[in-house]
Amino acid sequence: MTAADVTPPELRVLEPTAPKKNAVRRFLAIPAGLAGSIGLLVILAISLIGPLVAPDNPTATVAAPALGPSAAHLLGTDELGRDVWSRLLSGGLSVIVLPLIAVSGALIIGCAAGLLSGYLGGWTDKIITRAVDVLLALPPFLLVLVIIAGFGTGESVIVIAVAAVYAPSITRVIRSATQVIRPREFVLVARARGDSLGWITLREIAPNIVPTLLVEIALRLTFAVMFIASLSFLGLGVQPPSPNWGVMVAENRDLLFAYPLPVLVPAAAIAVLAISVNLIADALTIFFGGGRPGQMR
Amino acid sequence: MSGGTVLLSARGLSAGYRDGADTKQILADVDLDLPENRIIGLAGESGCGKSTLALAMAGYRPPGLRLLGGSVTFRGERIDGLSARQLRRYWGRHIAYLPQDTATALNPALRVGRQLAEVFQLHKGMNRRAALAAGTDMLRRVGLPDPERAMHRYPHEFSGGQQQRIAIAIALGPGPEVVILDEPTTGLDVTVQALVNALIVDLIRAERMTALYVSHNLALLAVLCDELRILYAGQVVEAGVAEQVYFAPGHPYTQDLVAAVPHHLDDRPVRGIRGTPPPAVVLDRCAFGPRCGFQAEACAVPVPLTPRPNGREVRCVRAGELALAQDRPVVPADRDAEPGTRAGGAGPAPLLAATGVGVTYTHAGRSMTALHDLSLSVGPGEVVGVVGESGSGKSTLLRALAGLLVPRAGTLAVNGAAVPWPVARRGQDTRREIQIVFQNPDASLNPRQSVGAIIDHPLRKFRPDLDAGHRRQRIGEVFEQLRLSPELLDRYPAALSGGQRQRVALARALVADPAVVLCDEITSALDVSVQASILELLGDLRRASGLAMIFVTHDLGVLRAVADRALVLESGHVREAGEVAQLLEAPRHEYTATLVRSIPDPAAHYADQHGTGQHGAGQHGAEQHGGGSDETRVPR
Repeated sequence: MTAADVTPPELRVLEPTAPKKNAVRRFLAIPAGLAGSIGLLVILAISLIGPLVAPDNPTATVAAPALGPSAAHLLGTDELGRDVWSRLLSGGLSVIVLPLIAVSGALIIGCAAGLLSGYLGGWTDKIITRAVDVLLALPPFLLVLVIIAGFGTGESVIVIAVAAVYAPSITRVIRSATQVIRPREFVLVARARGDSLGWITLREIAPNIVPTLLVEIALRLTFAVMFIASLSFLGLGVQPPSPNWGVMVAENRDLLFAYPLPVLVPAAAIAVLAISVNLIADALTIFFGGGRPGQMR
Repeated sequence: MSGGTVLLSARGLSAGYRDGADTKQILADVDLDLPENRIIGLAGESGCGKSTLALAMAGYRPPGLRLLGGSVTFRGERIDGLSARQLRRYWGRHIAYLPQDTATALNPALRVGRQLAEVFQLHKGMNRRAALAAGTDMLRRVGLPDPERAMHRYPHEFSGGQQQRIAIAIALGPGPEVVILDEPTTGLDVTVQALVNALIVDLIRAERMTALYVSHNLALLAVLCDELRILYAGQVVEAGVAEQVYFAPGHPYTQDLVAAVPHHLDDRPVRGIRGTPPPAVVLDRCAFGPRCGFQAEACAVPVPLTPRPNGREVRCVRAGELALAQDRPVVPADRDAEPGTRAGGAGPAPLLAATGVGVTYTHAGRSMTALHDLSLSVGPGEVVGVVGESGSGKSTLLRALAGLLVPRAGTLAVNGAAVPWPVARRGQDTRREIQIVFQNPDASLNPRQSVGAIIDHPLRKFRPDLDAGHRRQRIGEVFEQLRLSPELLDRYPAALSGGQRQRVALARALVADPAVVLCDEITSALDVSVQASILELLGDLRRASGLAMIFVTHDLGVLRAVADRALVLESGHVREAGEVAQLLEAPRHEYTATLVRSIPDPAAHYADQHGTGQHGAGQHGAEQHGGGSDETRVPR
């Protein structure tokens, strides 16, 4: 930067990092932020380290089916005699990764469409807004079922389908946040300077909608986790025999009354993940001064 | 100091805001008496404790405020420390409060009639029917057109000035004994301000009420009030009869405040007050010392408020020692000697010339003319002012010149060459040559970019030939010109003061060497002392680099201080154009005359009063009632 030798170097290092450290501490001071962060860390630890430390092959039959908990099989075995504990440790990654990819995709599309529509206005805005309205009018499950019917099941299809479900609502939120920033005078200055569309939207406007964006990401992730888990439960998402918490709930639901653990434990894990991310979304809303409470859709 | 029963009185009042575990003291040992039938003015920069004192006088403690000592009494009864419930006995009935922002003071969901009738029911014990009648009558007295129908309308259906009249009706309707007014007309158009202030003073005088009028505008207070109190860093630094305090200030701070406000009939150069007020009270020495031109060793002691001749009180150890007022050298503004100033208007080719500009807005199928056949030109080193009230089209003009909107008609030429209106079709050079600076420095700097990034970007864009070292050098030059410390380059706008932000915004415009800078009310969001330092700075810039500007303002004093020539705009039409001094001293168009008359002019006011032997400030406003149709014109 140009300021290199105008100011002493300490200043430059201090400025950006000091408030950030402070911000993390302030965020964790919010009860929901602390609880959500702990919950998320636990689930992340299980999902990332779990596959490495799983005692048995999660897809191999290792004992008699439907055994209760024992020293060899901490959570017993499932319908097909697989080790529930090993499947639990191995089944988290897809529960987290698929929604992450899906939401990232939705975010890229939603931000691009939202920024353009909010900043440019006029016909661009009209076309994008109408398209969003049409997509939002379709029930999400129906939309996904149609996509799956067309392209078949599979993880990539699920990711695309879920991204398609969430992109319109993200577009809407980003569009309205952009419309708030657009008339601000620093944007007018950039326009009067003849700055490019990319510079104005990405460098002038986008950094100012980051708070909205973070809340939106956390909220969409919650929904996506539940949504993909539900699809897996219905047999439309991750396919058996892959270990996946949603799939595990589906496979073992017949045993629910006799041996509840193979159903309850993965269900609880999904719940903890979803609740943690949702708590983080709430905490982010509070953190950024109660900016905009996440609208449910 | 003045006769009559003291109605509301603060004695030794000290207060502070909770700041973590500590208390930041912002009022220190304030004595303030409001004697019967008097209007007392309270002045000072923002952050001096004016509003806190005004609220404390009503017994109100905002959240976080702690009373540290002293008392507030109403007719001898203590009202400080009372609960909100107990205070209700006083509020509205005995003590009324009129805030600055009426948009928030009126409930948008309730009809005006209901809000107005409520105060009569509550404080006068009237039944609903009588209260509504009294309310209608009060609306008539505050000069609202068609009071019967107004009672059935909602607040948003009225203009800002009309809303303020309704708030006045609510505050003064039940006939309180004391009224506390906190900048009641700031934010209104100048002509509306004059009308509303005249109305307030007429009502107060007619009902023999007592008032505390808080404002940053000393000239206004000098005209409206009987006495003045100057507050600095939570202490009263000067108290006395309004005329004397204004014309012969005894405290250096008062002098600086008077000198900081540009006057439309006065060529005296505006002088800023360096520095900013301390964030908390200073008790062990003179609080104004660090900013004072007369600071001496004797000032490093606690300074008491000391009686001076003529019933004046001044908190300055050197007040008696020097005839401070006459001490400072006054440099006459020698405008004609400045480069680029042209007598007749015929001179070198204009830098920028716009001809026959017409702008029409279309909204919901209805079109509205914002500008009508406007022409203007700016020569090198020249400052052309554009004056007008809200809705006059002055901001629209700047936006069109900046290429942000495309006029329906008109041509634009820069350096003699025709230039298209939309910025997208302008060349890189044109974009560099025309730069714009906006009113509100909070909104005009991107809060997520460092000052360095904000300044560097236009330079990088318009001077691709410069490498990082040369850019840094150029930024250093501009910062020095604008008296900005290079340390600020690493900060974010939130860490800057209002004056610094506005200078950063100026630096962004100046860094790439523009031909003409478009200034949209660039000083009106700033405190008077900061405004004065920006005006001083602009004067220096013109002298040093022959900067040309188009300067939009609603403040005729500011216009006089910066501009050579000016256009007067009303509803998109140019009413008058010419040399600024001539425009203000001998206005030819009725609208210009109304604008000029709306500015409080203490010299004329007191000359009038002494000449005719009349008393009271109401007379000043009364003559302005004739021009009162202005308010209905303000489009909503």
